[in-house]
Amino acid sequence: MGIQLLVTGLALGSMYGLVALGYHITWATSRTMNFSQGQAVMAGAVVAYGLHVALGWPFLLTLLGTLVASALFGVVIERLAVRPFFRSASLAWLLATIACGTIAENVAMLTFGKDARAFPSALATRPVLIAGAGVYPQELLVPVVGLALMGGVQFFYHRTFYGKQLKAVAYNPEAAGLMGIHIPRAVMTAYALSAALAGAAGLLLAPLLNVAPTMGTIIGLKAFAVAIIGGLDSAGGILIAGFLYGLIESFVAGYVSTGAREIVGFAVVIAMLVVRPWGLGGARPTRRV
Amino acid sequence: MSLLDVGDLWVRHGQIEVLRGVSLAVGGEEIVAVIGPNGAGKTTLLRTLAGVLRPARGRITFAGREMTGRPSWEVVRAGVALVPEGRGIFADQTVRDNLMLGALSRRSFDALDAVLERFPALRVRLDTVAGALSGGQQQMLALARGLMARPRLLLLDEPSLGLAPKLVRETFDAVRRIREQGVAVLLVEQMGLQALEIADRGYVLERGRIVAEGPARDLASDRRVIAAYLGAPRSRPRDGGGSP
Amino acid sequence: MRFGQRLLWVLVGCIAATLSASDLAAQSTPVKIGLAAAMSGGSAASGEAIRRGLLIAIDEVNAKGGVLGGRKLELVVRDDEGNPTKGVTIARELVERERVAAVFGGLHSTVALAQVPVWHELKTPYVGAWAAATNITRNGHAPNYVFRVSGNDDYVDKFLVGYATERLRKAKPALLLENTPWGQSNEAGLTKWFADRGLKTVGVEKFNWNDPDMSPQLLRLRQQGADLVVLVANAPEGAQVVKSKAKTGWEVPVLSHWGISGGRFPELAGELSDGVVFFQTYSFFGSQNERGQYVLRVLREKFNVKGPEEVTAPVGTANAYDGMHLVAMAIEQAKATDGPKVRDALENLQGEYRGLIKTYRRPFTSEQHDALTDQDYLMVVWKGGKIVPVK
Repeated sequence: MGIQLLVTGLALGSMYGLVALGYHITWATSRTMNFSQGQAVMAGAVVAYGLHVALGWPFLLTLLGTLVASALFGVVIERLAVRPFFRSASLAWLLATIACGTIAENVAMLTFGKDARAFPSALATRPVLIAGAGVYPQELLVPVVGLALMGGVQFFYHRTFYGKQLKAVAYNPEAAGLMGIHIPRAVMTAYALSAALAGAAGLLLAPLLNVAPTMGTIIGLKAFAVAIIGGLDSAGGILIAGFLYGLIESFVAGYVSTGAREIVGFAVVIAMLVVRPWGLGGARPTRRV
Repeated sequence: MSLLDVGDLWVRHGQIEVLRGVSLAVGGEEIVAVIGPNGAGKTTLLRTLAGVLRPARGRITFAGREMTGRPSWEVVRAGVALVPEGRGIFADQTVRDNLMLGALSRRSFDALDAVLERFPALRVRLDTVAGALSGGQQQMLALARGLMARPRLLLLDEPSLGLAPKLVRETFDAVRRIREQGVAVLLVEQMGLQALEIADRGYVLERGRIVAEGPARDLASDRRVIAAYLGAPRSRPRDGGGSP
Repeated sequence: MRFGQRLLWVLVGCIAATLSASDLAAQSTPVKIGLAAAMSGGSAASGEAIRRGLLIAIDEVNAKGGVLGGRKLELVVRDDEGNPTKGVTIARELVERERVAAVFGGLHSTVALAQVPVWHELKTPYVGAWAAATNITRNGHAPNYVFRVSGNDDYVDKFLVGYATERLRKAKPALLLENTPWGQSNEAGLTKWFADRGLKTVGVEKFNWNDPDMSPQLLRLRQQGADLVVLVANAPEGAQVVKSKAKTGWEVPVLSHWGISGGRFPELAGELSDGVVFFQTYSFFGSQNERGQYVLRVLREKFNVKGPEEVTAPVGTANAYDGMHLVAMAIEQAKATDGPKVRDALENLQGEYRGLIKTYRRPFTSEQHDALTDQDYLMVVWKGGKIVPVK
């Protein structure tokens, strides 16, 4: 049982981490967050279903289409729910992104239907045995791809020039603007990138979770918890927190009860906020004189 | 026609009027100083000219082109670079990255060699993280970064802030050399005396209004100006005077 | 005749004419029958299936002259959206505004339970065609206005336990249920009926809606030595259960409540759906009696349903069809559409109705308001995406 729980925990945890990274990216770049990240996960899965299952596209094209569609989702959210409130120093973007997420979910219910649909994958049909425990290859693939994507994002941010521009916007948006960086476009890119990550998570999880319009809501919530635990400003902290959260969930569900799973998970969030609000990887805020 | 023309500029911060009908001009190869007490609106003025703030009323023209209300990323592309108060360097990135980002608006990094010539202390520290530099070095970096944009007009906001006297002098020397290279400078300072020493012309800004203007030498010998603004240097150097 | 006498005869004539006209009017006004079910949303298919069953029966009755000397039956449909509050609203609307003689109910037990007080307050008989919660019909009211032609969880549990012990001969059953009131009530029922046979469940595990993986629960049941898993779940969770079971490599039979009869189950579970046994009140597969052939034919002609594999939510259609005929019989027997009279007639139905699901003789009594019991259910199994009766 332990192996099964470990694999499931790592798989789910890496997806929480991937989606949570999206919260970090938009927070760092614009001090706003996309509270429809969960629905971006669902959008990715729904688009992937449409392309791969309904239209019969080959997998690589489906992946491309999913990433593009998810990025577009992020751009739309940014335009509708964030940009109008970006400079107003209010928290209106919080409610606006939540509202957009709800709208997206309902649109999906109307078009995709309320029923869960299966996303067939050769990697989720026959289990393989690892030390006597059965796991689906898909469950092994997910954390690997998740780590690769997170690594890719880090590379982009620290090694490419455009990534450094986004870092500059995150560090000091006013100074970044003085360099000639187009701030609204940078924020839009951050939103597109973060939604694309969520969409990728949706595609990876679709064979394991089934595709349904409501699949993203709880994932978005848990990913937010992971972002808090890891530290909104720390990509590394979020990565670790994602895996930790997934493992805690899995082992609690396995050894205690599935009912306790959510309780323990969110209790950890509350504990973190009380004890170390800047998260695992965040820096204690210094008082500026 | 001047390089920079500012006409009747009004800027608000919430309900408070910070600038009230400010008019000034900067010529092609001169250093203009704007001095005045704390809270006069000097930083607001520069930030508005740089496109960070939008004026409520008034006109800004640069090289004959309309600049009023344009955002900062368009203003720097037009040739006006601001070195902000507090330097605004990206402390989490290297010196090299900071300089490269500075050249973004020019789309070419060929200013790098010339800039490193001017600031040799930076050349040996290209791969140092900017946050690890001393205060004086960070000031050099901020100036250098501003120059990477190859501006025709450089806006400097309190470049002496937090520097030991020796470094202040070196900074102002650098500013003079910048003017010699054909870049106009609009310099905002609380250290009024030293600013007027290197400037060609000056303006005195008080509570959002220009209350005096003229050749720098004249302002420096005006008794009222001396009494009000040209007192002893402030006593809060950030940097303990370590060498750059 | 003198003028006064002529006037009197004219008056009498007018009165007579008016009386007979209203009599005629009464004779040609339709008898309305209400349907309050989930017609939209995730369970819309069930509402539509019930509607079809009712319509087929209504058309049949009307073709033979209707009820009460020529009055046609007419169906009035309202959507409860799966929402108990909405269910109460439409219940009132159907009785007070539409003046229906009886109302048929849909899939959601929560809605049906919320409506129970309304039928008693407004004295209108209600016949459930799907929702299986035991307390819908066993609601403590007397006189009881709630009837049902469908599964009753208590009987279902008895039926499942009977199949497990007599057909499958299993002695170490385990329960795997959804963590909802439906799951809980079936947990109580199954435990009770297993105990009735001297058996204890070796383990009881729960899961939540949208749970992706039930391997921990299954592993624990396996460790506890279960030789059978009795499942109470809906299609998405049921699919995840069989997928998790395959992952753990545990070969154990699965016996299920009808939650997994939904069409998406074979799609979600793939070939793993094969072999999952569950109960139905009726199956359109296999040999059909006369009624079955008739209903299939009308489904084909009127609703474009080509064969049994295209009948969605078949139990709804079958239950509603038989229920409607029983209500029509009751109206005829009561010689009125008056609620209390129809209710009494239902409870004391004379004669025999050779129906679709079975032959009904005195289907309801004052103690028994479920027309179907475990004696009438049948066991079916998923095979290649089709539901086939178990031999």
